[in-house]
Parts: sequence; structure tokens; C-alpha cells
Amino acid sequence: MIQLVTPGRPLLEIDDLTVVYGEVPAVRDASLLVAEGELVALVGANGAGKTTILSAVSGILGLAGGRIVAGRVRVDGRDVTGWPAHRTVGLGVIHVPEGRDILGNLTVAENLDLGGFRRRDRTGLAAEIAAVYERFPVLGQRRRQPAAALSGGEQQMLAIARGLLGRPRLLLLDEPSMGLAPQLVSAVFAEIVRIRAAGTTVLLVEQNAHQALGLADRAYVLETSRIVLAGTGPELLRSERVVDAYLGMPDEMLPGSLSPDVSP
Amino acid sequence: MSIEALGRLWATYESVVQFVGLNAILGLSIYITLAAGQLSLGQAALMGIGAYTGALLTVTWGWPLPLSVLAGILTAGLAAGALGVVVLRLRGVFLAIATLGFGAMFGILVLNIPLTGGAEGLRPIPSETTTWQIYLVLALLAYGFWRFDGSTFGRSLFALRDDEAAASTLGIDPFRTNLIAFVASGMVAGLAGGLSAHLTRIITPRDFGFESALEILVFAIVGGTTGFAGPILGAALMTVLPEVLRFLPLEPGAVNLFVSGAILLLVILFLPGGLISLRRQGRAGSDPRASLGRRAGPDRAATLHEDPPTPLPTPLPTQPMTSPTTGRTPPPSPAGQPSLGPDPRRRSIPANAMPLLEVRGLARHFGGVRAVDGVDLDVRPGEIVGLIGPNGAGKTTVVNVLSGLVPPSGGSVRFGGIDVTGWPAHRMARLGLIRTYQNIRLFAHLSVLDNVLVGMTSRLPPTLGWSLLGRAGPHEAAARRRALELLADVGLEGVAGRPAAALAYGDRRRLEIARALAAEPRLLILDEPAAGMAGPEAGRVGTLLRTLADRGIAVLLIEHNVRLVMQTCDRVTVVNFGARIAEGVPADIARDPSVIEAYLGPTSVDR
Amino acid sequence: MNIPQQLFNGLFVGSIYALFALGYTLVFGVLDVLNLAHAAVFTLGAFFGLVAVTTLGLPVWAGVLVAFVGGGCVGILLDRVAFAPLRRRPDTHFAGLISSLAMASLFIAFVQEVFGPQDYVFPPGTFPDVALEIAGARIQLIQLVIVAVSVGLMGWLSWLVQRTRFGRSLRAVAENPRAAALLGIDVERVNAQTFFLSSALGAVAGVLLGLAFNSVAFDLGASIELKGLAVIVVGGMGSLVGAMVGGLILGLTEVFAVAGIGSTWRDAIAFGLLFIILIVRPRGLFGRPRLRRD
Repeated sequence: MIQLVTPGRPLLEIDDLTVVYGEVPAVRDASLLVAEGELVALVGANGAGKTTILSAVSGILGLAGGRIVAGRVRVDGRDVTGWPAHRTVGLGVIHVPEGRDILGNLTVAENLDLGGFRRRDRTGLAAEIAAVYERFPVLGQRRRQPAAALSGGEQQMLAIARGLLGRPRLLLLDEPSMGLAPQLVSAVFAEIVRIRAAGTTVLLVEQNAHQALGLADRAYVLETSRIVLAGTGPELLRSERVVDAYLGMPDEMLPGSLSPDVSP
Repeated sequence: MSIEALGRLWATYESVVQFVGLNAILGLSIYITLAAGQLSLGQAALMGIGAYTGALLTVTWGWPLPLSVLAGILTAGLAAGALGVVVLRLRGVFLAIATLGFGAMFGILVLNIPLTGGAEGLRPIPSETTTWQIYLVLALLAYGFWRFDGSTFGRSLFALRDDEAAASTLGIDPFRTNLIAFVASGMVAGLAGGLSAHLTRIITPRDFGFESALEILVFAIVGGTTGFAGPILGAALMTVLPEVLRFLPLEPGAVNLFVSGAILLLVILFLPGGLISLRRQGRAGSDPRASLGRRAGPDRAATLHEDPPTPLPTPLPTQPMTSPTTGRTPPPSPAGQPSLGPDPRRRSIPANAMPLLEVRGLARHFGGVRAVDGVDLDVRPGEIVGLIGPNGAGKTTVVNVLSGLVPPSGGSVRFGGIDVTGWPAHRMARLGLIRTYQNIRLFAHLSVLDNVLVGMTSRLPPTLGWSLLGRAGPHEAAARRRALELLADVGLEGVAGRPAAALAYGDRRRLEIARALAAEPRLLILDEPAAGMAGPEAGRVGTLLRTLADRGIAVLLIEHNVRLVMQTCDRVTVVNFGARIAEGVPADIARDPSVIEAYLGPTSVDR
Repeated sequence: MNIPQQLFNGLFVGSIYALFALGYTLVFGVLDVLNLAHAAVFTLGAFFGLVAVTTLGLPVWAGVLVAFVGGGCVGILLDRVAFAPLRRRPDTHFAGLISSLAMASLFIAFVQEVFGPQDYVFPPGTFPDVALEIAGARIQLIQLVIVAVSVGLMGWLSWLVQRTRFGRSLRAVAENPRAAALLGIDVERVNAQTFFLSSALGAVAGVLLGLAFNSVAFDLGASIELKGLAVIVVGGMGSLVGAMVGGLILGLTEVFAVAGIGSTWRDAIAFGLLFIILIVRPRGLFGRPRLRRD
């Protein structure tokens, strides 16, 4: 496997991780590194194991019937392998999962408040929630409505905003652009750029390959439960293997910037 | 021991033996509903209906035992049917509560109407039931249940228990099947009631209350509900045990309650399959079918990886391969041509051929989220249409709506010229719309062969009658042959006897496809059949689909592997954020900038 | 018919039904399982109170407190033994029903072994025997206090669930345990807390009923077991408001039916309501369509 020299202190270190669901392996011998302040992308086809890696880090694997059978996950040097989610949240690991997990029966305001569930500074939290309403006026207007009434894009914004209220040191974002119309996708990516600029470390799973690789400092490519490639965003953007791993897309469908003019 | 001593022993314990038999019959009655995954706590009341009916007829009009018991059976069956119509729309705990309510109502009724003698009950009832009668009835029932476990009906119930949605998308009507189970269960409970009334000679409302309902449940749970022997075993244990415990110097009520509670708790925590699962585990090693499966399995799997799948055999003669809507006979399958390969150029489907599936403006909203928002789609017989789009585009929701699992919020669906908008899943399946699932939904506790046989359920006449005669019957025999052929096509005939849950991932996908084909689809919808497969293996899926299409089956393929879609499909529909964004032949789709953008995002990125 | 008297009697019986049903529905709402041992906890609660007052000689308010805490601890035991080990099984609803039934048998067997089959009464003077005359209704002081305690506990629980941080975490777990865990909520702890609260309320309902009729026996819970189920279905499974309104509706209907048509069919009312609701509106009066995925 290609190992790169990474800038900064490692915040997340995964060594030889193997995860199974029942008897079926979902991730095999995966090793990856995210340094403080980096934005790292995980790309690969459906079922390649991206979500499983995020779940193993945040500690919700068990809820889906998964199990770590080998390897180690460390956050800030601390071994968190097999920790339940409420403890990893305490370390500043915030996972915004695929499908957003908005609490639809609760109001928008209650959702945001729960984002800071483990925080002690209630006044600071209140100020930050006020700031969220300012940045996303729709959420402010609908603060007393059940979150289920929000549209898909609004729910995604709520999910990200709620995650940020947990003061993440490491933000795990799973498919934030999923199911969104193009203009909303742009808004979500603008938000990710802003989060990153504010200094938060981000591990991003995204099917939107151009955008994700364009934003990322570095990225890892997964293929059928293994990490097969690693590199900087621009490098991988030019890699034929990425497109192949991603979609199995035929040549005639490749647009210019992704055509195989550069050997991997 | 002398004969005389034996006689004394028998005199002392005959009633215990009789109650073992009666309780075994009661255990079998709840077994039918549990087999379908329904928890009914109304069994005691149904038993009571049989008991009171039988007793009243005997006491009041002097009916002979067989006739009054028969009347009890019919009354209890009717009551169960009426109860079922009301409560079977409910699920899980709601059904359990409703049946409990039914039991309570029955108790109040018999307590308060003059006919039944109130709290004093009915007495004396001429004592007529004998030990051998009880055991004759039990033996007949046990035989019936033994055959039931291997009939279409038994399989349908087990399939419903394992996965109701998957069963309904194979054409099994959950409501009707459960209702039949309910009525049968009520009749067996009524039978037990009739027999017990003539055995105990006194019946009171207390005999059929909440505690009796729980006792009956305990028989089945402790014994196990994966086979008819379970409830019989459980009834025997739980009936004999209190007799043994009577010798303990403790408050008898408390001890019985404690022991039954403790056994129930231990079984549910540590032996969820009940007592018979012990025997199953012990026997697995010597089961001939199981060992056959293990021996033959890997060999066959290995060959499958080398060769492309052989063309499917000609189907049963009962299945017309001519498309009913178009009358078009598909091209004869290329006999003796083992490899079809990726078809270099697709056959042209006549553009004027009438679509088998016509979808217009299909919509499905969940709260504020428009998962599907105006999708149009046509699939003609013999055509492979790809449905692609990025994650979350709404593809699986489209499939759920088309297969009848989720009602549409808007739009229309026509299938074979009929407006089928909003039809339930089992009716869609019976029309010939069969689907597979992205996350593979097999009947985990059924064998590989039984999974395929469940797929055929809607195409087979009921086989329980033949089963009761102790024979496979012509249909069942043909079905088994056909099922084994289908398994051979996907390379699984060597593991036919294994439980589906024990298969490896790739084998499970193959089994699901075989099961879908067993349901004789006119339109086959495959939701990501190549997920988790590497390139060459995915290519074989494409070959298989082409073979099916050549036989006139319409195929709708949902797939992330765009290369597979481009190589296999005649036409491709692209959806994103719930709506159709492109439609056309693969070459055009591949050049469509909006498609590329949907998949990979805009090419320009602000850094 | 003395209308104010009947109204008060209905309110009195209904408030005990409601308090019992509240705990029942709380567990279902949060954990999506039905705890069939709730009636056994109700019985245990009555005995906790009885022992506190008779054997330990504590005042009656302390007896209620003992029932609350003791019941709550039994609830945690129930969760750990009968529910937590089954949580990740595919048939968890079903298995939980059975295991809670088993626990109910064990609890009642325990009570029977220790206290035997006889009826117990609270010592004379446990509660001042005072009757009041309000708007033509003759009301025992103890009845008034029971209504007040029930209503107070209902109000307290509603406040807890709707207005506090703990309540938000409870509702988060109820809707989506994964989302709750990712927000930093300890889901297992919330489950245990839910069982504590539920069983504490059930136990208090038991001791209040025992006080009201001055009679405690091992089969105390049998009378309320099925009616409690009917109440939570009528109110809407998992709905706290539904349990309270459903309990009061049942209490009032029963009292007026007895006054109107006699006591013969009183117990049929609960199940009549149950079936009507199941046919007309299966999710109950205050139930909402479930958002939780199975």
C-alpha cells in the first residue's frame, strides 16, 4: 500500500482494521491516517466499505450488527477500538451519518440543542445555535416545527449544523450530498469548505468524486472492502483507477479531465 | 413390579397422561399461528368456545361425543376467522394485545350469560373422552402437521415469519394466508376444548382465562416453533414437571409459577429455538442432505467461476413463454451454444411493441422529502432497461413502489395493459412482476431448496391435500424437479439442503435470483444484483440477464456498476433527486453531460 | 344519579389506570417493546409499600416513596435480565414479550412464596379516615390525595419528557437509537432510566390502589393487567398523553356504566373500547405514525 508523508500530527490512525457483518467481511486490513486540520476523502463504489470505516471509528458498528475482528483505531493517540458512540463523541469525534439521522419527531430547535448534548457551556451553545439560525434562516423560521417537515436539503443542513454544535475535533461526514439537487449540493460543499477553513479535521465519504477529490488534501480509494489506492486529491483526480473503482464506468462516458491520459 | 402395581400406578397417573395429550394438541394449535410469526394469545378462549359448544350440545340435547366435538371445532374455527378478519391487519404486539382482549371478552361473556352457567360453569358433563381417543386424535394431528411442514402452505407460513415483505413480493398474500392459519389454529384449539370438556366433566370460565393462554404459549415456546414436534415436547415437559414438583415441601402455586417462569426465561435467553433445537443441533452432522451439501458445494462453486452459466433449461410446459400482451414469441434460445457472451449488438426491440410496464409521473414523498418526484418509465417484453442514478436518487424507492411494498403518492403504473397503481405486493407478483432486493432478503431459516419452492408458491395449486395423503403429489414433485434445475442453473444444487442463512454472500445473491425466476416473472426487477461483485463475476450477471431477455422476460436493472448497465441494457433511464433526467440508448446516455454531472459532480470545482 | 359523585369516582379510578398505563406506555414508546411484567411490578409496589408501613412502621408518604424507589430498581433488574440481552436479536419484540412474561411469573411466585395467598390490610390509622363533602359528592380524603398524587406524577413526567435535557435524550432514543448515540447520548443508560421511571410509576400505582381499597394480595395486578393494555392501545401506544386520557376515559366510562346499566358488564367496557379503536384507528387516539425504522 502506498504510504504518504502526511503533514501535521495524526488525529485519526486506523491500523489493519477488519470488520465483519455476521460472517461477511466489509472491510479488510484497512489502514489510514488523518492528520490534524486535514480534509481526507474516502471514495469507492457502493458496498466498498466506506460507511463501515466511519461506523467503526464513531462506534455505531454494533447497532448495525457489525464487529471489529482485527486492527486498531486511535484518536489523538488514544486507543478507541470498540468504544461505544457516546464515548467517542466525548473525544470530539462527530459522525454525521448517511441518511442524516434527523430526529423528525423533535423540533428543529431540539435537534440543534441535542447537538450540544455533552457540552457544559449552555450559554456558549445558545449563542452558537443563534448563529446557526442566522446562517440558515430557514432553520430559524422553522425552529418550533418538527424536523420531519424540512425538505431534504434543509435536513442535511440541520444535520451538519447539529454535528458542528458538538464542537468536533474530527468530523466524519457520510455522503452529505446524497439525494440533493445540484444547487443544494453546491451549498453543502460550500459549507464543507467553510468548516475546513475554520480548522476542523474532516474525513469525508462522498460519491461526488469530482467535488470530493477537488476539495480533499488527500484521499483513499476503496474497492471491494480493501483500500487500493491513496494519494493527494489532484493526483487521484487524474487517476483512471479511481473512476474504475467508483463506477466501473465505460471509457466513452469519461469526460476530459478524467480520461486515462495519466497512468496511475 | 407386578401387574397389579402397574395398574395402581396407571390409575394414579392416567390423568397426567391424558393431560399431556390434551396439552400437546393445544400446543399444536398455537404452533400454526407462531409458524406464521403471529403471537396469538386467544387460544385459551378458542379452546373455551369449543369446550362450551361441545358441553352444551351434550348436556342440553344429548348429542354424541363425536358430533358435539365436531360442532365445537367448527364454532371455534368460525370465531377464529371472525377474530382474524379484525385483528390480522395489526402487527406484532398489537396483534398479541388484540387477541388478549378477545380472550378477556370471552371470559366476561361466559361469566355473565345464563346459558353457560356463570362462574359455577357447566356440570356434570357426561364423561366420554378416553385416553386412547385423545392419543388417536393427537397421532392424526401430529401426522398432519408433519406433512404440513413440507407443504406449500407450511412453507408460505414459514416464509411469512422469516420475511413478510419478501414473501409478499413472491405472490404470497399475507392476510389470506394468515387468516387460514388463524382458522386452522382455532379449529385445533376447539378440538382440544371439546375433548377436555368431556374429560374433566366440569368447565368454568377460569379454565380458559389469561393464565391458560399463557400456559399454551409456554408449551410452544419451551418446545420450540421450528417444527411440529416442539409444542408436543414442550407440552409433555410442562405438564409432567408440576407432578414431580408436588413432592417438594413448598407452596404449590408458587413453585409451579416459579418453575414455569424460570424455564421460559432460560429458554428465551439461552435456547431461543426451544427444546427441539437441541436435537437439530445434535443431528446436523449426520443429516445426509447437509453433508451432501458440504461435499458438493465448493466443487460446483468452483466450476461456476470458470464457466459462464449454462443457458436456462426450457421451463415447465405449464408456463407459456409467449408474452401474453404482445403475442410475440421470443427467439428460440440458442441450443448447444454454451457461451452467449456479452451480446455484441442488441436485438432491436420493435419500438411499437406495447410496453409491459408503463410508469407515468410516479411520485413518493416521505414527510418533506420527495424521494421520487415524477418518474416516467417503459419496459417492453424481452427488453433490458437500466435504471441508474447516484446514491439517494430514489431508485430503490421506485422499485418499492412498483413492487407494491410502498403505495405511490402520485402518478400511475400500468402493467400488461392493466392499471395497477397502488396494488399490493402479492397481486403485483401474481401478475408477473418479481423483484430482488439490494440487501438480499432470503428466508433465512428455510433450506435453499425451500426458498426456491416458496418462489413457486403462487404458481402451484395447494399441495397440502396431497401431502396429507403421504405423497408428494404430481405438482409438488414437478416443482421440486424444477427448483433443483433452477438451483443447478445458478450453481447451487449441491447445497439445496442447507439453510439459506449459511450461504456465502455471492451464493445468497444467486439464490435470490433463482427464487425470483421460480416465480415465473414477466418483468424481473433486479436491485443491484452485482453489488459487491468483482468485474468478471458482474459480467456473468449481464450474460444471465441477456439469456432471460431472449426468452421474452422484461428486465429492469438497477445497478451502480455503470459499465455493466452500458453493456447489458437496451435502454437506460437516469434519475436524480427523484426525477428522470435522461432516457435513451446507452451510447447517448454515456455522452449526456447532465448524466455525467449527476454522477461525478460538476467538473469545475472551487478550491 | 349523583353526577358529581360519579364524576369524582371516575376520576379516582381513572387516575390509577392512567398512572399504571403511563409507565406501560413509556417503555413501549422509548424501547419499542411491551413489558408484560408491568402488572407484576404493580403488585410488588403494593407489597413494598405494605412492608414499609406495617413492618418498618414508616409513615404512609414514606411507604409511597419506598414503592417508587423499590419499583424503579425492579425495573432496572427487568431491563438487565429480560430485555437488554435480547436487544439485538431480530425477533426482539417477540422475545421481549415472552421474557417479560417469564419475569412476571417469577415476581408473582416470589410474592406468593413470601406472603402466601391471603389478603393484607394496612394498619388502622395509616391514613386519617376523613370524608369531605364537595358539590354534593362524598369524597374520602385518601381518594383525594390519590388523585392528587397521580395527577402530580403525570404532570411531573410530562414536564420531564417535554422540557428537560433528559427528556430530549429520551425522545431521541425513542425515535432513532443510532442518531442518539452519535449525539453522545448513552443509549443503554437511557434505556435503564426509562425502565426505572416506568416501573417506579407502576409500583406507586400499585401502592395507591392497595391504600384506596385497603387490600393487598398477590393477584392485585391481575385486575389491572389487561385493562392497562386496553388503555395504552386506546390512547396510542407510546403516547404519554394518550395513556393519561385513555385511563381517565376508561375510569369515567366504567363508573357511569355501572351507575347506568349495573356492574355485570363493567369489565367488558375496556375491551369494547380496545376493539373499537383497533378497528377504527389502530394507532390510537393520540398515537402518531411511527417514524422509527424497524
